[in-house]
Amino acid sequence: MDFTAFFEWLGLIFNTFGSAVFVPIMLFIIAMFLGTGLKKAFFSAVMAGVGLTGFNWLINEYIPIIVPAVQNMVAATGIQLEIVDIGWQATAIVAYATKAGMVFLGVGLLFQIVLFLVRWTNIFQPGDLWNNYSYMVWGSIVYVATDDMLLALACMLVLNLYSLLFSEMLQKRWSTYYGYPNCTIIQVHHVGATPFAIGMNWIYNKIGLSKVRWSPEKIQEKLGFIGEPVMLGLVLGLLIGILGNLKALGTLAAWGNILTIGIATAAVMAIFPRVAGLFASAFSAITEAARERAVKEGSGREIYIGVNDATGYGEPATLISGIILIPIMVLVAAILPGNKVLPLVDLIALPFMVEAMVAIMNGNILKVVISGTIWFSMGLLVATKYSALFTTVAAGLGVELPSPDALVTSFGILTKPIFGGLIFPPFVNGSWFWIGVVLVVYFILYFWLRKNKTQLHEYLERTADGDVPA
Amino acid sequence: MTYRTLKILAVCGSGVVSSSMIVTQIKDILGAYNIKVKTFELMPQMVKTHLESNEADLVVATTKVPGDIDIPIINAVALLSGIGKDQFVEELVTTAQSILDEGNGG
Repeated sequence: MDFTAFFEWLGLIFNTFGSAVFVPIMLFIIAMFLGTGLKKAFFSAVMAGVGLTGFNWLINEYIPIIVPAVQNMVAATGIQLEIVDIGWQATAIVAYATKAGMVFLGVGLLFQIVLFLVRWTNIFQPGDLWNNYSYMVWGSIVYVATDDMLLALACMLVLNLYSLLFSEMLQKRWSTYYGYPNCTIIQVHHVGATPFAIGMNWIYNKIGLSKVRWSPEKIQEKLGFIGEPVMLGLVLGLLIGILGNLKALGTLAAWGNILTIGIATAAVMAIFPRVAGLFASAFSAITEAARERAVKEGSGREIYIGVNDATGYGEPATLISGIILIPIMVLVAAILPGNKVLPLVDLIALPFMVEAMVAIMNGNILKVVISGTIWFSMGLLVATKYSALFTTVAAGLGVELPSPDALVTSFGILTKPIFGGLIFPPFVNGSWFWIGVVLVVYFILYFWLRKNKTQLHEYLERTADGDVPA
Repeated sequence: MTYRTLKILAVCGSGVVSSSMIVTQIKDILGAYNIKVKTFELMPQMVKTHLESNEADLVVATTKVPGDIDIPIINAVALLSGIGKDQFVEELVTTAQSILDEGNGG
């Protein structure tokens, strides 16, 4: 059977059963293959189906409330932020339910295990299998745009290679800063900031910014309330509601609408994590099984286990830098020329999104906030550019949009200047020349890093807090 | 000997992904000692607020938990990385049993 026929057959099965049945079956097969046992495999499968179903119910209640509210806001104020950020949880679940996602669920896992076993990388990535959805998002966009599954798969694998490359630059610094021996983050949506953070920190050290240290504890007392998801959701919802009803603030109906949007947004912030949690628990058994096997194989050399980015979230400088960035990014989104994304559900994810910068800059809050503002501003333009394609992906998976011109994105996953802005475009455009360039650059960087890794790691340790004379 | 149900707060960055993963493992580990657990998953910045109006016996966290928390906190990164898992299991079981023994009136 050739590849095309195989993918057509897969597509037929997929369309017949739907993702809430198909995804569990795939997970069950993978779990059995990894030897989790029948009981755990079955539990994983059912939880995946439950999570997908819960997600569809929830998102299809929220979208008819929020999308018209945002469209009213755009009409009433002229602020061109019509692309609604539905959050990484929703995006993850969409991604797992796509055809590209299904292909990568198996192929990606195998690819990552092989790269580790043949020592192409010293990172065991399936330690955080869950976050593979980020590749699937880009892959499904390529598939929607080109209808070419092999191209989509190639895109996901190349993004995977690059993210491992950046993780290898970051691994020692992240592990040292967060205090988790032999662990690193590997998420494609976070590690892309590594080269940028290294460059920015070099500039900061030149201009003496390392001497400015803000204490996270003091800021936590004053700003901690912004970081409570339910309150944040309520405030943002009310704000969108008020802006959308500016011309009718004297009417009872307007306030009914405003308060409904506020409560609905608060509810999504509280309930989305629960549903995503159900879905994520499906990955527990296979992650554990894959890791136990690989750690045995990998003993005897210096290895890093890919861990979930949540491990860094609560670290004070990380949490505070992220929280300070919440109002900044809302403001930037409103005034940045060319941006149409309204950051919403993913604002609470900002502490995750700055982890690479926090590690490289040794928790210097001011450095992280400046870098984050620049980095995510560039990212907003990338997310704006691909929102129509991403919306097509989401709509194909049962996300019902109230009007044909409604657009959705994820602020946390699609605002990626390097991955989404540089590495991904050749694939979505189907440009083989530029795909070749992206590959050649990869190999150059890969062999450079292989030769200079120790020096780079030592440099990052030495300069994290400003250049210390040797 | 039958124990009362142990209330555990499982904490990770989002209160979503790794906390649900560690919950599955914690239930397995303590289940082997006949310890029943009720878990609640949440974000680090919510722990202090949560404890003001709710009771819990123990926090198991994959990240740092801000604020002064007066119940034991166990670091569960070992459950995510697989490194040092045996020590984690020992710490969890010992802590759980000592909490429950206290509750039984010593």
